[in-house]
Amino acid sequence: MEVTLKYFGQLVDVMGSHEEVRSVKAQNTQELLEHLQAQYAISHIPFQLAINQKLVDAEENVNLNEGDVVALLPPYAGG
Amino acid sequence: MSRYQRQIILPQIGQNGQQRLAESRVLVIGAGGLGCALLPYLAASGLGTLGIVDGDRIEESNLHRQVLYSAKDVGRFKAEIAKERLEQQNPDCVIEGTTEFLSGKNALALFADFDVIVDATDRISVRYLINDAAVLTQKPVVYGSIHRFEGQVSVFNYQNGPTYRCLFPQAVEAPSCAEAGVLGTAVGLIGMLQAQEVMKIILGTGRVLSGELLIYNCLNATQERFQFTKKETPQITEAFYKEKHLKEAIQALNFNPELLEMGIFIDVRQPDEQPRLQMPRLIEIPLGELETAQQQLDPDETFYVFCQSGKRAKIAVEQMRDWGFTGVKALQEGARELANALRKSQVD
Repeated sequence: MEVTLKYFGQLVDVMGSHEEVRSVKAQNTQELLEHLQAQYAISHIPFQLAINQKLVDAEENVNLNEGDVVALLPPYAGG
Repeated sequence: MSRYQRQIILPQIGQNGQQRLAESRVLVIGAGGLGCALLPYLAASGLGTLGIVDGDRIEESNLHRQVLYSAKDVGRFKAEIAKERLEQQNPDCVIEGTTEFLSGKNALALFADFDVIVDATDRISVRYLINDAAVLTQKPVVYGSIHRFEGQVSVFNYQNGPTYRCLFPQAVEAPSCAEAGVLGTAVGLIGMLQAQEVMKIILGTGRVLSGELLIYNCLNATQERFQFTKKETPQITEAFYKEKHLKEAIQALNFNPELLEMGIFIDVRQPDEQPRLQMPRLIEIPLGELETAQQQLDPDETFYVFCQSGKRAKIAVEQMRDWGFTGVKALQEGARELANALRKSQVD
């Protein structure tokens, strides 16, 4: 299915863009994370996932639907 | 009151709103980029008291974004100079500057005196401290943070709403402005969004950014909002606060043969763990039995605690300090390294 992925903070540099539409085999957030972690060095960056602008619990595995917008949100430190 | 006339004529403010501002006390943690942006506007609005907490001194590399400071202020305390500038700007506003960093020890007492807390710091660990102290003292926190051209803004613990721990449960450091780089206008913009949230909380007008994270991208001029809800774990209690913010890190000591004369060694390993050590003054108490056995020990004596890796030794030291032992230290070395060091010292 196709999902839109949005990256923030340090993840923009690692993923190489702010936003992309990606065709994925993943059916849920856990599979999506595994898919991304296998391809990109992101395991050292803490982040939260939001689906369609709503945060999902880190322990929760949420099913993905065609057209979902998934945001990867790391905390920022600067001030 | 003609000073505030242009805001008093706003229907959302009026004389009542101005009076509310004059009676409010706002504590700003951090007088860096965010603090310098939001402080002058809060002071100018006729806010009653502004507290500023920052133990940092002004550096030349701050001046491109920390616009309260001039080149001649380099080397002086930020909290002091900010207080001077803001007092000149609006003598109606009382400024209370603290030239100390926020810590687990001073946070609760400081927060208790204020109505709204502003998180304008630049480290993740301090953000958790602010969050937890605000929950315990029941204060709302106006949060702002920056990564390069992106800023995050939210309001935590507002009317018992979600907190920073509900948004980011994992405590891992992220790059600061010094490490990642930052543009003055970007941090200024985020500081201004924070100042606006402070005003809304005090005036009771508009929709406070509670349960929502706003991310503004200054390069693309885009913003997004993300909703999050309150989590019941962890429960932020006094015990939790003590555990997270008041525990002093146990420093481990390196062994040297002179220590043999200076105190009693405690081996907290299980009896079957090898090698066993021979020392003139050694007692063997497995960690699990320490609580019972400590009653036989003199709390004023000097003790050196070791185990196999050093981990249990630190736990033992923490426990013994809680029981009132004053001269107890953990050894860096595990039993194997100690055995080698002992053998070597006997050969010498």
